Amino acid sequence: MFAKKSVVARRRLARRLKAAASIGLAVAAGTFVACKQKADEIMKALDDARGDVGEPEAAAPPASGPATDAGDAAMTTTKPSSSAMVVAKDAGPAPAFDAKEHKKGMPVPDNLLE
Amino acid sequence: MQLLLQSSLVEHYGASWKKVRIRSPEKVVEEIARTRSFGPLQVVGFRESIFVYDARWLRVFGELYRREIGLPYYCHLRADMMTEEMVDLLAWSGCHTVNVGIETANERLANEVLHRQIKQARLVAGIRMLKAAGIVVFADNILGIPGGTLEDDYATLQLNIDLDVDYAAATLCTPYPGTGIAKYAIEHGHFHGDFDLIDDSYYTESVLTFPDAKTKRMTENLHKWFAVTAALPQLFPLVKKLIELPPNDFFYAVFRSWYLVCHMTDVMPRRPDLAQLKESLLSVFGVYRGLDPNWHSPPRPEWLPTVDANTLATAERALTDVRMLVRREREGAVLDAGVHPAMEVR
Repeated sequence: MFAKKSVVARRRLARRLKAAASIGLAVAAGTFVACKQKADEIMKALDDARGDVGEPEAAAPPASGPATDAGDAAMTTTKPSSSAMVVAKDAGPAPAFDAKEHKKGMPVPDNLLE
Repeated sequence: MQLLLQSSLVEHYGASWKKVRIRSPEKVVEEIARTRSFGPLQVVGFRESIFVYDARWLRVFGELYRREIGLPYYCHLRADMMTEEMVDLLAWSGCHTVNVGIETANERLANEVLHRQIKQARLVAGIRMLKAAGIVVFADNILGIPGGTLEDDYATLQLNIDLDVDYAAATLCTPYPGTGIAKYAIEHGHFHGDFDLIDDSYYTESVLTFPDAKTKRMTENLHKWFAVTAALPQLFPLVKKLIELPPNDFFYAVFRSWYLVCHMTDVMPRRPDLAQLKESLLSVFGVYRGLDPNWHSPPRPEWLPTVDANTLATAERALTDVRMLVRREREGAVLDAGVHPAMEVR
């Protein structure tokens, strides 16, 4: 069972075109990463020069108020179904720029072929 | 078969462990069918190191798989073990992608350092057969192997080009503790032995000792360009010059970008949903949702268990009643007896 030579050749050509396109994408991505890092460095230097370390962020108040005892805590965490929705939305870390992580791993989720 | 197994595996698991355990094709297909009943399935991945050992097993598996599952699948195997019959059966049964190890073009490094016990000519013939059968070949390679040179890495890249592999994956040789390669690297002065310095990614930098800083830098940079150069060989002369530059964000982006494009279009016959595609694309631009590999998307809110207020109040009242009953019974047992049981004995 052999694949047709024309199919193999077409696939090879498509691969080369896609590789060229991916280099275009990489140029855009590399420029973004480099500029973003430089911008972050400049902002940090400016902050340091101003001596402005920034106010610590105030902790957000709990959505349903502080629990007074164990019974209240149980009620606030289990009673309304809407609180479950809030928990689900907050479960994962928010997407953020991370230059260090950029140098690791692969972009495909689940490492499908690793 | 025992001859094919690495001596370091035998060192790890002892001489008495069962070398090859093969599940029956019926069990394998049954498990896939059961898995598919839980939700939509686009592709099946077999992650064991060597998916197929003999043609008889593959024939039975193929017949069952085609009839019961009929989805494309990918698997890992050793290309040097392939016969024409096995390759035909793989393609016929629905194999879309195979992951094979080329590792290095240098046969001495493959056998004396990596202990692969492999004949390069058979490996090459196996990959050619897989390619001729129309199967997508995802090849693993290792750069910066102790005792090797940059020329060896160039030769490995050239071999990937000659074999026309669909994706030439490369990693930087990393001496993980307890492995044969770590032992070799320490004994031959290629590694200082401080395992704590090993990074959690083998895609970034090598911890091994190179003849000079330039060679190390070029090897690490070649790693970033390896896959895309195998796909677009015209780049090779330019890449030899580019890798002399200091490591930079463009090189990393090249590595990630081609990985993404190739996997989404060629290697995996699986179509990601829009959210996965967006996440993957953003990661090429250095934007991540987080570092924890065990983090998964949260369940949809409608999947979470919900309890209405009345049911909850009833359940809590019932629980309180049970707790009080238990407490009364414990207290009552002592009071009814009049004296402590220990006193009675006395």
